[in-house]
Amino acid sequence: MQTKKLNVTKKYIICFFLAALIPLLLLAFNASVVNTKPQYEITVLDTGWTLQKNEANPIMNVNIASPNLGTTLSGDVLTISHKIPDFLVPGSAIVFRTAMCTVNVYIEDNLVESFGQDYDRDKKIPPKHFVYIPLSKNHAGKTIRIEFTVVEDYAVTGFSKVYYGNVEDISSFLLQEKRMHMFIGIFLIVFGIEQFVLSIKFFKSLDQDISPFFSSLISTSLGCYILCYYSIFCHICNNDYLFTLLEYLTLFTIPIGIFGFMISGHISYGKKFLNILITCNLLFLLTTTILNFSGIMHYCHFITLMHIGSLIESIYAIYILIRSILNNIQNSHSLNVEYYESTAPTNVLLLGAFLFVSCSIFEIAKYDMLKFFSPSGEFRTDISFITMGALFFVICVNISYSLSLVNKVNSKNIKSQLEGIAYTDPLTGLANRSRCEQILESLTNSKNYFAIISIDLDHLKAVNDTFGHTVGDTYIITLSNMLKSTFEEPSVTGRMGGDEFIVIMPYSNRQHIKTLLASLSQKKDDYNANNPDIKLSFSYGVAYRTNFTQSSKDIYNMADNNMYKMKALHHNSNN
Amino acid sequence: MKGRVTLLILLISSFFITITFGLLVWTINSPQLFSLAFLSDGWNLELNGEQYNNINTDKVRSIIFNKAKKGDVVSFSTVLPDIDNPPFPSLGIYTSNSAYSIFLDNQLIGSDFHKLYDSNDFIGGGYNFIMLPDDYVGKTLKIKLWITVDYSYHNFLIPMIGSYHDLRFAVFRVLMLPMLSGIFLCLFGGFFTFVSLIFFPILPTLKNQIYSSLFSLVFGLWMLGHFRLTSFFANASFGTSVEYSSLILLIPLALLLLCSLYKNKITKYHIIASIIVISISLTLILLHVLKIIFMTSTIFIVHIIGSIIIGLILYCRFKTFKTHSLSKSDSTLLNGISILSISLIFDEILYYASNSFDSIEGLIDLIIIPIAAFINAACIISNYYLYVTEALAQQQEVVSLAHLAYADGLTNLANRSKADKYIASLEKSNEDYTIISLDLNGLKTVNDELGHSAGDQYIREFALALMESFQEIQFTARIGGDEFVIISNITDIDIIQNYLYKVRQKLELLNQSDTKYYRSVAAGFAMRHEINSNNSRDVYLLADKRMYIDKQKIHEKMFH
Repeated sequence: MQTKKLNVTKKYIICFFLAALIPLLLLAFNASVVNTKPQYEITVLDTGWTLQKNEANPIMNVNIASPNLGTTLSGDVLTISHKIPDFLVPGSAIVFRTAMCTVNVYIEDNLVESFGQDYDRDKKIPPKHFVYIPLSKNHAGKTIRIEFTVVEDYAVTGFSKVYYGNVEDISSFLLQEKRMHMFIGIFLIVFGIEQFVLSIKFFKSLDQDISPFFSSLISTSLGCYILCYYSIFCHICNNDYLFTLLEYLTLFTIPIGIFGFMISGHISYGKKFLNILITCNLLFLLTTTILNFSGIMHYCHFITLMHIGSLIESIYAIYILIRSILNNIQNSHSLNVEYYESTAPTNVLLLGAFLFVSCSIFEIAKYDMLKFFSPSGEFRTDISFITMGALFFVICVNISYSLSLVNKVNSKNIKSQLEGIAYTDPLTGLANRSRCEQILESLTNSKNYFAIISIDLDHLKAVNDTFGHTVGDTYIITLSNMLKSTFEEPSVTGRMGGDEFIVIMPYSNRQHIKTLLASLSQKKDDYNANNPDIKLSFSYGVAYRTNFTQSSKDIYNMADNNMYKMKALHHNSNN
Repeated sequence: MKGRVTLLILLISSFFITITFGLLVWTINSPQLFSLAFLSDGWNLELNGEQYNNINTDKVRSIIFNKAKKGDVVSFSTVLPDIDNPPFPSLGIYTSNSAYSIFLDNQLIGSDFHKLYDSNDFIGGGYNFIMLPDDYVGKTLKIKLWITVDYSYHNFLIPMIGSYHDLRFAVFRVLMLPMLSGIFLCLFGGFFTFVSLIFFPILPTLKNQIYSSLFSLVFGLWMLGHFRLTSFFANASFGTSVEYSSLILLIPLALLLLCSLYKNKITKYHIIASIIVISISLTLILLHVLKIIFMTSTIFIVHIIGSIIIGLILYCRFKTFKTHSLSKSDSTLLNGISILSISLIFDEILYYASNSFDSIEGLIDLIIIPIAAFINAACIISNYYLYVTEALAQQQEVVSLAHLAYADGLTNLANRSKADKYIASLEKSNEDYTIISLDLNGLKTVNDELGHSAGDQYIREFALALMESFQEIQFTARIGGDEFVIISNITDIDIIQNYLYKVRQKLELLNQSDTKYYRSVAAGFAMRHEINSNNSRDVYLLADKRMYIDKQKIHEKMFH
């Protein structure tokens, strides 16, 4: 036993070690040593900018990492200018990201690039976009002026990083910088889709559990949102507008997924209110979508509302989750519950949801803090916590399914134990009534000849009343031991009730049975000779099946009757 | 409830349909901001002194494929057309195991891999983008390739010029499916290996799942290398070695999986053969790393071994179809790996059989392997679901068995086993409790005189009376023929006696309405605080003793 435990512990250590390699591999892959080496140097132009807001005086030497813009309203024009380096590398470009602004770029007052005007004309909000300004030799040393015209109130509070270098280097760098988020995002999307398809297939056999649907919804929306938020799509295709819309759509879907998941059977507390929350979120999603596509109000107006709503909902969700976990733990300690059912799978699921919701709260808070209260503004935020939280959640879902596996193995063991208990009389170790009835049932239907002996213990009540239950139990056990030693396999000896026993024999050799009964009587006499305190006495009756129309109940009744005849004899002889 | 569930599923489905639609829109309708030109005609090629004039790229490809050998230098040139001045004008070409130099009007504008070529090192392949100077229109573009491997350029991308980003996006668009599925399969394999490893010590049956997931991880890496996607996400030397090493690593993993699936049937010979094969694979990797023999030369060995193993996998798969010798979950995993193998066979056939680069063949290659990857992942996931369904079924069995084991068949109260357990567990808490011991009077007489069915009725009536009278009671059990026990956290003597009075009343009512036999019960109760020890059994014994006292009182009453 000791060595077995040691082996398992060794296994645990090896497996955890191996398992830990995988996230390490993932992290290693994210290291910058893996990046393509840039052919030329990439510079981040943060300092030395001149900033001008609308018609105000230009401020010199601004670091656009913390521009202190304050709030910006629709129509505000933010202008930043910088000197282009004197010596240009081949294929050089200036690259920056814009969102919800129209942009005009001038080099020495010549308009070289503009973006977003056609969206503005169509009353659409300019999407997130990377602007690449090609620099040729005659641009060296000149001043570049970037003019952002804000399109939405409060939308812009900061500037993105401005890069200068070879365009290939910069493009590679931007994509590879977000490589981990891209991989995780793609994984979550495809995983969600696959899980969705399979949930449909396994719907019936999974007991109509709809939580896999919700977890696939969460997985896909999370993946999509991560990809959109990091503007990864900007590096892979030109459909900026489509993906900016998708970003909002998926963001609004995430709470629906989480609450749906919590409702679909896994929590034990607060379901009613969650239903209300889900309907609210659903309505919110539908209304904002309709408002956005009909041109009335763009999605981004609802972000603050959504953040506040999500914060409140998340706090409530965490409260419910903690209550449910505590409830589960409490139940498993309480006296009256079926304790062979482990609630670990549910707890892990809840833990995953809890981790994810906490990460989201943290991220929402961080985003709003940075956007409204920090000098750097919303461009410099990062949502790596949500990526991690998303991964945690999906991991927890899978771990909880694995724990169900563990339950399965446990129940296998318990099952064999229970089978023992279910079919055995605990006091004597003989078959119990259920088992005997089961056997009798099968014998009725079979084409076998069999015999039944009904045995009744005499005076059990008197013994119990006079000497107490312990002695009474010994009385019963003595008889049962005798029966066990007399009637061996394939006969089945059982205890049908307090003092009633049965022996079922799948043959009907009368001579043989008579011999066995005689040997039983002999054992009784021997016992009584050696134990004069309590006289062991029992009555029995035998019956044989002679034709197949007789059911086992019939035979049992016949045996019972014969037993009563003998009992009457005993009574009479006593009196 | 059912309607609600259907509604929810419909809503979620519509979400997924939207997402898929979005993805489709992206692939089919990605707007191109600037014009892009494929240079498919008008090439002049020079190889080993032979000149070919005015040929198209198909002919270029076939000449290079058939005639260019290791050490040769091939160059082909064309005149660049006007494409409306896009920003960042660039040339996009695909090179395979070659160093290259690009000239514009005989001026060098880009080159790569020459260092590796000079040191006889391994050069991989990939998509290369070279920036063009602003005045490229009408100039002559010359592409010079230094070949290091015979029969390279089985795949050949038509050189294209356009805005740098448009070129990249065009490549991504074509490679979208392999990219999505390769990345997905990598992370999926890692993810499932991680989860399976954590649970392996408890569930040794997860071994097959671990091997399958590892296989998927390595296959995903191979896909990224095979479709030359690694250059976009990591540096070149990292990427190209990944393809070959992953292909070679697939072999030992496949063998491990097969051996584990069929662990009952493998013999010594199987094991020896596997060890030989694995050593060969590892040696090939070693030779590559030590730069003695590069994998490009030895790849045909890998292809041969790989074909044998694929054949083995498919053979096992078909054999199991007929004999059903594998469990459902194992055969699901085997399905996954078989599908991947079939797709690899397709790839090999395309590689060896076709002589001309047909765009349709290339398309097939781009679709088949990714789809096989998705199906393989689906197999591993459904294996998981299968386990869960089995677990659920098991659970149901356990519940019903437990009921059988812990419930008294006649009255549906708890039985003796459960009562024993319950009484023992009382000692764990600190709360006070009452144990009531009840004994039916005259059951034996009823059984003897009126038969078992009457006796059973008596017992059931009594159980019902108990349940009706003691309504909020925690625990009621029948522990013997005529013995019952009740355990409650109510410790008010008056309330208990009230309940007992109610039971006796009910029995009296029954006695009046049905005079077949006389019903009465003897009862005694005791509370935890009356006993000094913590032993709950002692409380029960005290209750039992008091029950006997009650029984004797009733006896005396009846016979005096």
